[in-house]
Amino acid sequence: MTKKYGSVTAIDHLDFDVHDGEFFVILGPSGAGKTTTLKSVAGLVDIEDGSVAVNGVDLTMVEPYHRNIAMAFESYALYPNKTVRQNLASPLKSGRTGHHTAEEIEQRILTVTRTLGIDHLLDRYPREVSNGQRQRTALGRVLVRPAEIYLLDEPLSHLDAKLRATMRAELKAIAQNSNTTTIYVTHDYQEALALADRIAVLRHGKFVQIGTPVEIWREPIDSFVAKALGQPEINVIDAVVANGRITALAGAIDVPKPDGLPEGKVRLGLRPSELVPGVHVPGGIQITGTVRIAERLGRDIELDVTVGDGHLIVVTDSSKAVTEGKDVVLSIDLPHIHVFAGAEPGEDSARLGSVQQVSPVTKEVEQ
Amino acid sequence: MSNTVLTERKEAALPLSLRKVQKIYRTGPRKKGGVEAVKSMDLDILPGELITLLGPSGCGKTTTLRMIAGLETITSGDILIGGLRVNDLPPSKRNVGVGFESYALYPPLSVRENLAYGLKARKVNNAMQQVDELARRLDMTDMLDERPAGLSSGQKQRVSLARALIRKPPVLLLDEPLGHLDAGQRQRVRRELKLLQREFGYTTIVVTHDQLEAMTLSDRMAVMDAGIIQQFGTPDEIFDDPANLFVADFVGEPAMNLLDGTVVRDGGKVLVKVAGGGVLETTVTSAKDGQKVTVGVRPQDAFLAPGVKGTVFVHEDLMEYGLARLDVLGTDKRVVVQTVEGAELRSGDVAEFSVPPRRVHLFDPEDGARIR
Repeated sequence: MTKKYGSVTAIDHLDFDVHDGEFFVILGPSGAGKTTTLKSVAGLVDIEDGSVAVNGVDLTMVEPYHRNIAMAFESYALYPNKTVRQNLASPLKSGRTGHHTAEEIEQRILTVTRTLGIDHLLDRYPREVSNGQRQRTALGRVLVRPAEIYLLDEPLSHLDAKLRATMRAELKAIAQNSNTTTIYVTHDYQEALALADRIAVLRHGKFVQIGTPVEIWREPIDSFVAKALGQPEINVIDAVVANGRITALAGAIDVPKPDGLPEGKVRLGLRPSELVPGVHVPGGIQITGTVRIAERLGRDIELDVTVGDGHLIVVTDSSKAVTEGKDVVLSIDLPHIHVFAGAEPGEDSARLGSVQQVSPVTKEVEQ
Repeated sequence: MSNTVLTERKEAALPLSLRKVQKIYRTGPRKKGGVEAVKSMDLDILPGELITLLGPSGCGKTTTLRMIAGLETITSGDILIGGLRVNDLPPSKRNVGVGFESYALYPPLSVRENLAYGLKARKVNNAMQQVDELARRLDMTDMLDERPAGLSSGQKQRVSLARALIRKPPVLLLDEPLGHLDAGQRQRVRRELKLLQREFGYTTIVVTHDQLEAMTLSDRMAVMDAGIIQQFGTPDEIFDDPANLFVADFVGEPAMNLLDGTVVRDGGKVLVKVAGGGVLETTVTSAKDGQKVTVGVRPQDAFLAPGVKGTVFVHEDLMEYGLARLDVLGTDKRVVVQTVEGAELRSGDVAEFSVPPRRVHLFDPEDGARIR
């Protein structure tokens, strides 16, 4: 699919297959083209080039109402003067999704509200239920429509942190139980990891990588994907390959280079949670630095450690005795240190492997 | 990297105290009724300390800040800055610098001119150099030549913050300074704000509703609810030793799990029988045998081991760790347990969790007071 707005290409030759019953998450920053992708699938915008097919049937020229696709937008409202039951019934009574008998409607509402855990609230008005229950009702309005595919556009983004985590779990339970095919758009990497069967990372209208959460986390195709998952984000530092060794941070990191890695500039990626203070990791290396800032995150603490001529961000358990201004020894397992191609500051570059092993062949993006 | 320009003038920071400060918004006929937004507040802030006022909307945190700034009258009580009673002084005479959410930037001036404005008025000779250095540190060099109208809300917020910082006031008051920034930016600006605050040594009060922001920024934090400071302490104290149920529940993400329980004293041990049948040991000493309590357990402190049984609702693998939601058997309570990397649990499985005894907190179910 390709969609242009004037001279701006919003999505650029996107190719993807979503399997039957799959929960497919599109992850990307704002402006990447996530919503345009959903609208193109739903038929709410006309694509310039490409096609959309469901069950092998080309729907590119089919009107949105007849695509059998249900879409929920970022902000969805409920009718304040209708009960939960009436709110859920209205999409079925509109006639746009075919005609349903009263029994069918009631049955459909019961099934969906049981899954959502709001079947005891059917006769209440939106103002009489909690915020979380209102969100579930709104979601129910989408799920109540019989559809082959559900498209969800950041359905949790307007909730506060606590409610968002609760609703994320609810959605996961619904996805596990209902076996519906879902395309879900978000900028929140934890939502993507928690919910997805597969994640597609979108950047500037193109998929950078499509894979399972484990693949995307362990083997990000490039530094953009590596940074898109994890908060605080992965440390990416400049390094040099010379004389059979990789060195970085003014020699604070100095390891043998893996076979097949040519000499020159590279970058190393170290996840904050994989740098462990005060413990020797077998098969790992030690990096010595000075704690510049220690911040409490909850049970964890986040450290900003001055190492050589740079800094590393570290997340660790707060029981570790670390003091601002004091030296700290960080350990990290060699396979956990990612190697990326060298690049100018601000530019992203391909992952070549880890400092233990670089891949002989550069992987192609699934297209 | 040199900070000589910024550090050359390090103002002696001032202590700040609130003595029985109260704010009533008068309403109703002849203003007889009223809403008590802040109730007899005492607070002592050390010179150079960074504290946050944390609480839900309507808790009185912004009203408190505005009273200190002089933007709101004080119904009763005293505010002392550097030992001087400032109740009757106008904002400009109080030695405070403010960065409020309403940005109040001069529209016809560029960002650079907005930042330099106060410095020029005071005839600081290297004003432009200071602006450039601060802009670099707050990651806003590229917006220096823009006018405020062309900026996003996040950018305006950084300009507003920079303008408060650059004047190096002895007391700095910031209202939700990072609210409009995206996650990555928020982390960088937060870090830089903390470093700048330490370099310049301003006594700083930050108002926020974001518990993570308060935890990461504060030397000490005041958790507020209903116009009252519920607890004032270091982030460690607030997180691990909450004064009451409100503080325990408001701070921490995911939120603390709360279960009903009954205390059982068994020889030297103090146990809590949790509704549904599980048992947890606690280091709480003052609980009486048979006492009904609310048991508080942080998701990060619970681990999978025999203790309290539940059915797995869902388990989310977040790669660095997992979150299991368990429906505690025999109750309608769903608890969150943080699991270690690689843990595998399926929905419907029965799992058990336990908690280190010193991490099992007890509260009075009536008033939420901590039982120690």
